[in-house]
Amino acid sequence: MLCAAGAGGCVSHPVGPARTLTTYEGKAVSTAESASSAVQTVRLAAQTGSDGHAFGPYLSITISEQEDALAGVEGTFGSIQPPGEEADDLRDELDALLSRALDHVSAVRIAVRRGDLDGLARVAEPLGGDAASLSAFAEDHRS
Amino acid sequence: MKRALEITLGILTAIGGFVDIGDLVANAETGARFRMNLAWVVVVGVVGIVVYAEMAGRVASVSGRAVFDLVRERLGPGLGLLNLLASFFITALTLTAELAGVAIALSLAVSVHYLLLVPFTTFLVWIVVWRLPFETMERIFGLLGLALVVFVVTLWQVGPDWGSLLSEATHPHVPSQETPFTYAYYGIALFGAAMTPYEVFFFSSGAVEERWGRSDLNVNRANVFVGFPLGGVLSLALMAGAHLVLAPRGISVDSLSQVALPTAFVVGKLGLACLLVGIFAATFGAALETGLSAGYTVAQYLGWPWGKHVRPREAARFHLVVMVTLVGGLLVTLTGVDPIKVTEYSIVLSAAALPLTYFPILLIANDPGYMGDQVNGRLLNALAFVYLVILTVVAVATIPLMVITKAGQ
Amino acid sequence: MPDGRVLYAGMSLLDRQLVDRSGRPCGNVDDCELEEGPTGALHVSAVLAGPGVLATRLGWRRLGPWLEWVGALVFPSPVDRPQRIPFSRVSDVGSAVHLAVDADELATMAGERWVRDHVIRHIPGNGHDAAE
Repeated sequence: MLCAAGAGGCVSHPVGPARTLTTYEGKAVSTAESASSAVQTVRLAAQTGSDGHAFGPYLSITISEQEDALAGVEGTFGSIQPPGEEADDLRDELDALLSRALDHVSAVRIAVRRGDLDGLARVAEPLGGDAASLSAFAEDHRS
Repeated sequence: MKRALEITLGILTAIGGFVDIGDLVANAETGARFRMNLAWVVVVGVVGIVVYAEMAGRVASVSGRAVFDLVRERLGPGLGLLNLLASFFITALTLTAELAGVAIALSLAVSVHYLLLVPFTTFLVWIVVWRLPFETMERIFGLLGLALVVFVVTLWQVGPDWGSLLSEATHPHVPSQETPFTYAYYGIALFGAAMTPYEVFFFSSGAVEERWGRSDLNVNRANVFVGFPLGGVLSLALMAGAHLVLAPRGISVDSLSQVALPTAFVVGKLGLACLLVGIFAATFGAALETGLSAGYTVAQYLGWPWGKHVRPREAARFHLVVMVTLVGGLLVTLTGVDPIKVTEYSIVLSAAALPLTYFPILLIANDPGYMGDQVNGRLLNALAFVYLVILTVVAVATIPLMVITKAGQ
Repeated sequence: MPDGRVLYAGMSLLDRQLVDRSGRPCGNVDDCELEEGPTGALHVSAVLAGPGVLATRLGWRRLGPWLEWVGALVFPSPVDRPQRIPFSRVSDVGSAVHLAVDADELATMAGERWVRDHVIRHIPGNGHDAAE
């Protein structure tokens, strides 16, 4: 089970440096996979909400949990010391993907808390692209 | 109708044992990550628990003594104490997670943070232990937990290709993005979840609470043959639902809210409402089971009067142990520790402690001093012995696998 | 108990459930006291149960006597060593060891009475009948 921030609200914990590029890349891949899972969960939840298949409170908690998880994963990865300059490009790329995804997920969370269930799928549309990019990133860098 | 209701002990035990918070997440996660390739482990686990729960129930019916009562007599006080400490620790750990689980299930309906609800839900659990007669408790939570049959409805409505689903389940392999180690680790977790020690402690103590006697041996069998396979069916339906809805999206399960997502998506609001009721009842039932088992095991080892069938003031130390364990669980939960992580560890640790629990049961069930003419038959003994070997292998492999896979990553 | 019935104390006595004359569980046989008879053979002269006995038997040399001392302090008893139940008080040995006395006379139940009086009694509903 990939470690994600639980409902208890534990935030990112500092992780030590990754010694080699391969190790760093490995952590990047698992981060991307974790993030993709959170993004896809929010997408599915948004679709469920738009279909009128779920209650506001349930959706609100589900989406908030995934938002916290995503933020946690972003924070954890950000605190890992990149081994060298070759890793910096990797870091920037993933960072951009993660923060974009987080913005979109936050938008969905805001919409759900406002009670706009019907429009959720529309608000969640960009998440499709985010999930695809994160998966592609993971695929590209998987050894 | 009254006869039909007599199997609620088995149903409650199974639901609290098979689809409590840890198993809900584990089964969903396994379905999402391993698809149906670990389904066979659930089947193996169900057969195992059926075999041993029937024995434990029969022992309780014929001798009037619960299983843990006999552990000290059979293993001796030293090993019995080791068993007690291990079982108590694991059961208390599980109880902690279940208390959080009840609060989480409630929070999904009322949108209040679960930590604010935990003191209230813990109090509710205690009130039920304190006041509700055992049989009433059994009926209510056993039957409410049946709402989880909505997992089967979910699966039905997805409308999968049943042929390929079955073929995948019967031809297991390690999926490409997993290693044999993570496969084995999750297999052990599922097996440990099916055969968790507190299930047999609760079931046999429950049989004593219900005052089953020799004439209830068929009731014992009915309970076991209906309750646990039902729990297994629910687990498998959950696994299949996660496989069909979550796996294609690359969703990895680590929260209770995600467990409910396939049902909401496929069945809709009614299904979701049913599921939340079922999850609430199952985690509440599991909290009752683990809370009572904590009291049962300590009281039975030390020979204290115990049980809900006597007035609380006639089983004072028993109730004190249960209260202290509940309060302890509440305090740990309030620290905000992730309950899902707690259950993962408790499932795996209970896998490591399996032989200590089940070996004495096999011994007792063969002892004519306790059983009279109701000792095990040869076929049953052979089957039970095979399982004893399996669970010893599982127990030995657990900790190394946990280290190698870093708890399943 | 029938005359002259020979039992293996280790198997039939030790760690068995004690049951009082009303059928209430009241502890376990934590240890046995052995006495040498006129023929030189050992027989069980008393059953030992209560604070500290098991600890002593398990070999915890300090904890056992300490628990006994604490037990005597917190639950004073008119008898010198309340953990000792003379074998004459045993009425039957079966899957449990039946005693011809009331649980209230036993050292094993002193803790039970304390918890009952100081904790449980203060919680409403402690005396309600179990089977409504």
